[in-house]
Amino acid sequence: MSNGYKILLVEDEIYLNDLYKLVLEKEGYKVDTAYDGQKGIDLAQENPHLILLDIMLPLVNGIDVLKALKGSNATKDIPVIVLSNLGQDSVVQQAIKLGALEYVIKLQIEPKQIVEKVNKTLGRG
Amino acid sequence: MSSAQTTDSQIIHHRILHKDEPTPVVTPIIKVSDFVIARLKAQILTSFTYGFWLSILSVVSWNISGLSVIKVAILYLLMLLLVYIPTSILLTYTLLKPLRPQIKLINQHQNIAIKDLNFVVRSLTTFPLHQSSLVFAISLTTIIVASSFFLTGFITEFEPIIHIVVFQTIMIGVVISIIESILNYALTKSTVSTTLEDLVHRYPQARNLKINIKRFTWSQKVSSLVILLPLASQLGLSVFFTAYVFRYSPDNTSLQVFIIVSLLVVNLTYLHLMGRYLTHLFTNPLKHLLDFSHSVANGDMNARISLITDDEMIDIAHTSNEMMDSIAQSNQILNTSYQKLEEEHTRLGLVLRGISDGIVALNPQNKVQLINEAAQLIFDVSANEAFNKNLDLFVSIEYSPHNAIVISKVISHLNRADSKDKSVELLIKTRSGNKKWLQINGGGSAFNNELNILTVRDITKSKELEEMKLDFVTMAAHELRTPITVLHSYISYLQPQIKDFVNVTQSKMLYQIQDSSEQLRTLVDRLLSITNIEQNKVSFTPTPIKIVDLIVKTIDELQPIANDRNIQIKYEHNDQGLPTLMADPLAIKEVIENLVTNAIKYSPEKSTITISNDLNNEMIYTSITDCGIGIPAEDLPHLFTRFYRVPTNLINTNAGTGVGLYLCKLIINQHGGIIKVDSKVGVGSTFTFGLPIKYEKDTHR
Repeated sequence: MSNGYKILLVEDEIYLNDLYKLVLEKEGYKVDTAYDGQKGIDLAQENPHLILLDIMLPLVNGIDVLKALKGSNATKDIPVIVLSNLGQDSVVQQAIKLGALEYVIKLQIEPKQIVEKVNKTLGRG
Repeated sequence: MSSAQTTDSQIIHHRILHKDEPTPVVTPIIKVSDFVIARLKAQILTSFTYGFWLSILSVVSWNISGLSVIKVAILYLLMLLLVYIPTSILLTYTLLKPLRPQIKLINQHQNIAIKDLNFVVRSLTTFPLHQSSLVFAISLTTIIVASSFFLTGFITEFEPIIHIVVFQTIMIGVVISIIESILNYALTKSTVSTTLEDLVHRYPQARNLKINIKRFTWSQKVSSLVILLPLASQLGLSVFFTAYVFRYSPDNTSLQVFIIVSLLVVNLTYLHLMGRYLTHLFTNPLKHLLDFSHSVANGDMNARISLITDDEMIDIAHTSNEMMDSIAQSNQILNTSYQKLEEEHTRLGLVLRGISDGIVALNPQNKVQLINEAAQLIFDVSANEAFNKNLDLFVSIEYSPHNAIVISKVISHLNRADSKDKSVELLIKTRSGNKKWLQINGGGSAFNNELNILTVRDITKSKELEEMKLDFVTMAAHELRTPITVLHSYISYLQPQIKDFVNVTQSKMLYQIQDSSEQLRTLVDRLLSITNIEQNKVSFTPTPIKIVDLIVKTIDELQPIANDRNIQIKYEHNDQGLPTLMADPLAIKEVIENLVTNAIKYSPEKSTITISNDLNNEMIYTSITDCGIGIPAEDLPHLFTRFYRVPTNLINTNAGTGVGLYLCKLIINQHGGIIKVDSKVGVGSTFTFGLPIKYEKDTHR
């Protein structure tokens, strides 16, 4: 069933992590999951095709993860979609400035829309 | 020739000159004592020299028998002409020579400000010369009288020693009285000069007071000679009595001694009294002047000179009195103004003290000129410490919006004419280490920008609350959003998959879960939006929008809900007539959505909602009218306030959260628009919002 793409999902909320993993796997993606920022940075070294990144994360927050990813040659080209419920303009602007492809407020989006965005980003839509 | 100078007497005359009269640039430095001492030396040395030669002459004429009286008289005369007068002149000239440049300087500046003391010096240098002329006159008179006695042969048989003794006595008396009068005069003068100088120092108005030196007139010179006439007669009488006694009682030695001694005493006393009288004549007006200047120097502005003399001293008196009058007059004006100022000052002081905001007045160098009590508390500094100092000395900046390092930079920025900021918020640290948030308002200036007025408010408390609120809302929103997201995401994932396996009741339950999570989501979203707008954390991006498009789109989206309740949404629009607006499309759509949703919610089934547009010069208006239950008039004013909900029983489900209309108002206000409501209970409500056609970015904070 695999479509050959690997996605890294960095999300500390277990239920959401489960659900997003479920819908993405149904779509044929291989999903690596991380529950904190440090794990996210570690797993990013394994060349995922796309990273879904939360902002409020334990250990290392999403913004710092983004900085680390974009600051390293190995990971700087991996597209990152930020999935967060933090809606402050300042945070959104910062994330976009750091190189996030998109900033999505989780609350305003349904799981299937996330799948659509992923498909679109990876040119499968 | 100095003998001509010696007969010239001078006296002081002063007057108040006009202000525009130029004051001499050169200020001669003259030591009064030099002149006095030189003059005294000349007088004393001359007298002694004369006395010395006279004694030699006496001894010679005593020892040479057969020396005729005429020969002795001629010797006297020669003595006077060859010894006394030349010695006097020579000594005066020699002793005054080092002082010549000073005298020259004085002569160049006939009008010199009183503070230069020239008039004093001038009078001191001339008065002793005047005294010399007295001596000369006395000597001359004596010689004439004595010569007449000799010539008439009255005393041909007497020894020359007699009249030598008499004459010596007279001369000593004259010298003593002259010295005394000089001393008197000099002392009085120098005191007067000191006090007058003091006067000028205290009252700058007197600075233009100048001295004019005037010479004695001929009539005054004659009158001074007239004064000497009784003296001359007395001298003549003395000589006559001596001669008489020796003539008729040549053997009565005790009578002769008595006559000589008593004449000596009488003459000395007479000369002394005469000297005193002469001294008094000259120094009395000065004493008046002295008393006057003493009184003035001691602050008695009512002091006036009461003086009646026939010389120029009266002018001093007059002009001094005039000066005092004008000083008194200006003093009175000053006093009145001062009282008024005092009153104003007290009033201003009370006002400044009463104001809870800090007020600081700074000069263009940012030095504190005035600081009220509130500001002293804020900056942790006393008025005395701060006066004429820069505030940078007392406070350091922890945070400022323009990254200024010192507070005076911030103030300069505020006071700059082209600065748009008239108010700035700063975090400062005082000397005692207290950190405070201040709001500084500047831009006020007075006295041709010589004084910049700042008002300072301690906003630490509200800042802290604001920060706390912000932190709380941010955290709460995130914490709330996470479980709602789970709920929302799972439902929306689950629902399509199970809808075929549940019965109608279960389906309805599922819908209710979904609807509730939706409501919760909206509520949290709106709360967050409100907070963000209130905290300036959101910036709207004005883009060109067509309001009609936004309305049509919103109606399309809400149509299903309206259909559920058989409500018809009527929108009569004519987008040709409406100009394009500059606004944030998402925010405005949220407003329309909110108002239409409310209209649907509060309308009875099968009713109609009407949406219409209106236009005037400034704004485009959008009105949403329902035929709902209406809102009681007393609730209308509170409708747009936060968390306000119309207390009504009619609505039992899906009651509003109390934040929707408030959010609408915030958004519309941020766009520079207006929002209002008309409503009648039982008839319906009309919500209208207007957006300015020319929306500029500046209109939002």
